[in-house]
Amino acid sequence: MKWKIIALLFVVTSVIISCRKDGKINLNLFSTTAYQFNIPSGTLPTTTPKPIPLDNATTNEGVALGRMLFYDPILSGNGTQSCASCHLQSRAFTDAERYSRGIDGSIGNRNAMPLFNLMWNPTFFWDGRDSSLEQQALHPIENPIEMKAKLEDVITKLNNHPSYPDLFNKAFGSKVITKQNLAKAIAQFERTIISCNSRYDKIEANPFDKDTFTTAELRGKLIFEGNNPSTDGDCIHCHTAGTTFSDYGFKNNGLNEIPLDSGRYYVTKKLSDIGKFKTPSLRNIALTAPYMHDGRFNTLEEVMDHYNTGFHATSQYLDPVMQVQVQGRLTKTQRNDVIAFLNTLTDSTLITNPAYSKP
Amino acid sequence: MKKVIFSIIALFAIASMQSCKRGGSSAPNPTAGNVKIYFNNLANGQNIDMGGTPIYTNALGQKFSVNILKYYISQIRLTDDKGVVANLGNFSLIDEDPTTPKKEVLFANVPPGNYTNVTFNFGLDKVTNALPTGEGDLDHSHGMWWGTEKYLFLKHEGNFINAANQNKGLLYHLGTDGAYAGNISLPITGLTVNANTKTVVINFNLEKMYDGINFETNNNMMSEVGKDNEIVSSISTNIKTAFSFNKVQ
Repeated sequence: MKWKIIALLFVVTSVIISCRKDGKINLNLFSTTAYQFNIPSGTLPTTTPKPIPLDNATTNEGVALGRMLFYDPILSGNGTQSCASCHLQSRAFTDAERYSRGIDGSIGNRNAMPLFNLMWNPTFFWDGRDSSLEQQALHPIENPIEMKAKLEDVITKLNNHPSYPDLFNKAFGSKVITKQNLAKAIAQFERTIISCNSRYDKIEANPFDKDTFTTAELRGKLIFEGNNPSTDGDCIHCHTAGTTFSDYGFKNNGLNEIPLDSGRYYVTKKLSDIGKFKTPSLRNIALTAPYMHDGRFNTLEEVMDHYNTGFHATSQYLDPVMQVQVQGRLTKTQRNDVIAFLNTLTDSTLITNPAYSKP
Repeated sequence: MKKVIFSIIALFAIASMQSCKRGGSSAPNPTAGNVKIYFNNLANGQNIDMGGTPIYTNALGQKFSVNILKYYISQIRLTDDKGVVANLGNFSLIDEDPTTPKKEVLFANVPPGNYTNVTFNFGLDKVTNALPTGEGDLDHSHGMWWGTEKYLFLKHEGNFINAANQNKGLLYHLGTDGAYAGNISLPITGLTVNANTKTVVINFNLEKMYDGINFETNNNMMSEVGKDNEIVSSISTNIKTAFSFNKVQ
């Protein structure tokens, strides 16, 4: 009974009163149900999620609508691509391409990013150009090398659609669809995509779990977490911050002597940000090949070889953390141990959860 | 069921009307004021060019740069001319981030008085340092949490020019209880709190923290529990003189 009362208290009731030109008053009473985030008591919540914008509380109605939109090619210029075309659930919401193809076959120069635990992300895109999901959501729709649509056309199509006006009304209290509410709905769905159910989580969260790390995984974990730049992987320096496996910072990891893509510089216009890209989370890393902002590595072996021996140690752009790392510090066995550990970060429930699949 | 929902709506309505009323038992002291403590991070007396080239020098004349500089200050308190202490804040992360800097801590409702001294601690006390989770400035997402090694008290990343004139990484990640420096006390002048907002500017002179430290042999200082060494202890001594009072404005 107590729970029912608490649940009732969560019912958000809003009254929208809008004055019409003729002086009459429109009264539109609508109610939404707050979405209950189900974050298990695993290891993920050692950091607090970013606050959800006050004007876009997560609701069951908004999440359901956002999910429909995420999978609907109506958002693209010629009706052939949805968000899910390049963000496939089976691949932790990225795709297997180095560069995803837009509706007319054009390709970009950055690898599609996976989508999960976005509530913890302070910035979006490889260069961090957006700081909220609401800002981010519309950009791929308009990008000429991606979904290549005119936002006004998309809004018109949605407004003329047989069911979307009602669904927007249920979520936002207005049948008139706006680009703001379109972005809000997609953002709401994206916030619900949470991944913290990997073997790593289960083992770390429950010392009495019958599953344990294999000896190779455990060795890999210690190399991963060790911070001696002469003998350890020293991975944790950037892939940490609680257990999001990313500091969400921007780093140059020495892919080239002189960066081919200026990255974060485009956003900040600071020379010191040339060639810096966001540290990606390593959760589900086994699912998200190819790797790096430009998808240049196809396997985790190639990635590990880059960090062990391949990075451009003399590049003036290289992050100081990597400048002190000794090349060739890991043996092949150690390299493979780290990969064994990284494989424990795969969350198979993320890629099968029906709540995230095509409605 | 409908009745329940309507009564909840009614309760909300009443609650929102109630919240419009002013006053209450915790009314602020009318002569209390706001005090901002502003940490002015400097290298060689200059504002730091974050992400710039190595142009600053330590006591040994080694040139260095700063890409990241952030640190924890805890338990800021003010002492007035009668010896009365006003405890202000608990834990504040000071971050010289070039895009989203956080260098000021605001304290509201500070009792009126003539304050002659500001005291604070560098880092986090043992108990706080051992907390498994933290909120606000202690949230693990600030890049200052080091897993089982607990918190970093200070993070400075940049480059230095070595003896062979090469650009090398310079990393000081100081945490562990040995790096803690308690009761850094600075005399201040001109802080009269009386229904006003005053800012106390405190300089943090980064190069002073490195007095006597040779980057050539110590360019990668990572705190590890149980491995506090002479570098950590000289920094926790140096840090007390790295802070100085600048002005009240």
